[in-house]
Amino acid sequence: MSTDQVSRKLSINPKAPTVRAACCEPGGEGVAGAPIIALAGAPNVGKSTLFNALTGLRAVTGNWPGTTVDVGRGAWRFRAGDKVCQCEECDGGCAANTATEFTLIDLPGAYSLDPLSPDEELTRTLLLEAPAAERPDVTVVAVDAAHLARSLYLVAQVREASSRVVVALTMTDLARQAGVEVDSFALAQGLGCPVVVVDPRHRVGLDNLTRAVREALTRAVPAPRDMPEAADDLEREDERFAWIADVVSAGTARTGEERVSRSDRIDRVVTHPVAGPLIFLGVMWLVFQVTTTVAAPLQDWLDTLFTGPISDAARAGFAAVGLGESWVQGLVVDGLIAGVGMLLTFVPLMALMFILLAILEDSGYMARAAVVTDRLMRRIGLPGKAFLPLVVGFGCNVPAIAATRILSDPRQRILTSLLVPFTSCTARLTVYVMVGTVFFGSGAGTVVFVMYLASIAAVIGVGLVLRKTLWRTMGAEPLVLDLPPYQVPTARLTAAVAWMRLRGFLRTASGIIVVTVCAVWLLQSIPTQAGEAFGEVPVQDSAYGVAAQRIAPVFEPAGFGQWQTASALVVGFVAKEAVISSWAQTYAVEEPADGEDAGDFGTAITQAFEDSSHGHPLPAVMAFLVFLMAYTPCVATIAAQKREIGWRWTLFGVGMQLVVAWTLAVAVFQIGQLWW
Amino acid sequence: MDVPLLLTGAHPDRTTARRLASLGLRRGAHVRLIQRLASGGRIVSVAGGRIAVDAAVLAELPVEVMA
Repeated sequence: MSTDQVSRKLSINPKAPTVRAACCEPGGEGVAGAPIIALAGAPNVGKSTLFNALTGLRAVTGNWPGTTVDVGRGAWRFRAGDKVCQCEECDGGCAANTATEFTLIDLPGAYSLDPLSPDEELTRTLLLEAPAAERPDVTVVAVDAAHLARSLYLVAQVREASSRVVVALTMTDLARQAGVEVDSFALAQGLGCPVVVVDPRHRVGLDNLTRAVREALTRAVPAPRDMPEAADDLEREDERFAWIADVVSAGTARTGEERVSRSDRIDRVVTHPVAGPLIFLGVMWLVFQVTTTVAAPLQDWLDTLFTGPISDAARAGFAAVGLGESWVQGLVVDGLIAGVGMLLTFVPLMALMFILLAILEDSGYMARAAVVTDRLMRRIGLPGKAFLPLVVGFGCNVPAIAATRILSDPRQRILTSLLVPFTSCTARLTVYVMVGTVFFGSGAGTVVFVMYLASIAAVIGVGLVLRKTLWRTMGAEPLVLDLPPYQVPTARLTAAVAWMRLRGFLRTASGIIVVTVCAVWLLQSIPTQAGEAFGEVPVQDSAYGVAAQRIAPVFEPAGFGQWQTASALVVGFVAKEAVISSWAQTYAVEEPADGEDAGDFGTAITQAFEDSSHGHPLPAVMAFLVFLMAYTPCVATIAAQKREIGWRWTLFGVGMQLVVAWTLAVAVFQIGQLWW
Repeated sequence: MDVPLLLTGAHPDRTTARRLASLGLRRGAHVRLIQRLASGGRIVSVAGGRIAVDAAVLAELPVEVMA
């Protein structure tokens, strides 16, 4: 399946070209391409899971409302085999008989065609407002049998237009558990369109659905549902609900009393006013632990593999062909291999993050987490579930940015993505500990604690400022959230969703990370003095060192205007993990093993801060740490942001982080030097 | 809590009313409040579904206790 078969956003033209009508329809034009089938449905009815099952594609799926935020498109392939069209006119050669593929469009989830959100507006546009010639040949509406009445409102509205409709009835097992038996034949009669029972999670009923769509294509486009004249929208709504009530009454039978379900029993604990927040914190702690501690050994192993055996083998290879210690070796080993190695060290971390997210979404817990944290997050204009990416950010900002996908509102995704870089990741922790130990000795622990508090304050402060400036209306919407029943996540679905997201990250991030690492190597290799060769130049004489010397004065008001310090911050832009080693390199001393034994490096930076702060090293160090906490985390975070929110907002975020970091650092130093 | 209620009217805000109606919370619906939330809101049981609704929205919904 090629990637260009997935068209995203509204820019798709769903009819280019296609079968216009079944052969039996008067004036039918015959086959000009694969029939276009639209897949619609309310949020959380298993629509995206059905899309994936039918196409093998990996659309975003999840067990909470609003997962599908763009339009997915894929090929729905099947074996034709039998004749579904028996008419004499076409002699068996019509699209319904010969087609072996439909083009399936996964529309955003919509409860109705009265748009309350951009997602619902998009669905309305494609199903109702597009010219008839550009509408889908068949609309498959996924309907949740366990919540039949509210799922059918969309069917009622789609049936009010001239279109072929097939209902895919999902969640019949949950309906049965709730004491409701659905008679699909009676339901089809009431709705006036075919109804097919499917279980996309276990790939049951898909052949029947294919056949129903093929048969629908053989029929003329049915007339719209009869509707009495309505005085206004309210009266029209009442008519629809009355029609739905009749259909549900005819198509369902209650097999037992409604009882407290397993989901209700779980919810009594999970959403309890006291236990709920505690359980949520426990889940977040688990996610945090898994994405940091479990992934760490794998990351270390990959790092060692690339900086050790692979780099050594490459060096040996260059030496063997007479290019040892040449700039070519530098480019390959310190640029390409280092860049690819850095990218791959993120793979275990991201894979674990995506697996955990998929489990939380598919199980139904994510919707509860959103409810539990809603009140807290609403204060900065975000829904409760935005808490998750922010917590994950304290482990690593890269998967945290990816985790913003749990937010269905694009504005909320942008705001959360802009706030995540202010959460202090573990890579920054290594610098806090080293610098804290050198300057504050046994008080380093307190320094680290203060830095985490500062990080939380930065998230809240920047969030409040952005909300009051850029997104004033955000957070004003009331909490009205559908809570899906809990279900056991399936391994296949979890793996598919995690792999789809991981693949997307690697595609987007790989280029940016490798190119940036190569660019830093290049700048460090370009000499600025006569007589020095490319690739064999001391750091201070390289283009990189000269640039750091030019940048350094910017930090003088913050008390750390030495070029070596500025140079470390520039490297920190690529990866915070590299700050200490490159910083030590600029002083031509060994990288310290730990903070307590910082050796020559400790002496060097103590003197540097003493000089640059004109006798106020402690406030200058605190200013440096605050700057480190608030400015751009790393190039991988930028790559992840670019993927999630685009270049424009990513660059806005980088600029904002630099401004906030510099302003805070200057304030800390200027105020701090009054006391110390 | 957990008392059968009849919704006798719609939310005064049209957008919120539509959102609630799309989830089954419309005039004539039989509902139960089945769980208190930390925010003051409730989980509402309606037509087999469970909806989390905040306190401010609930305060605007007219209901009658069913016999």
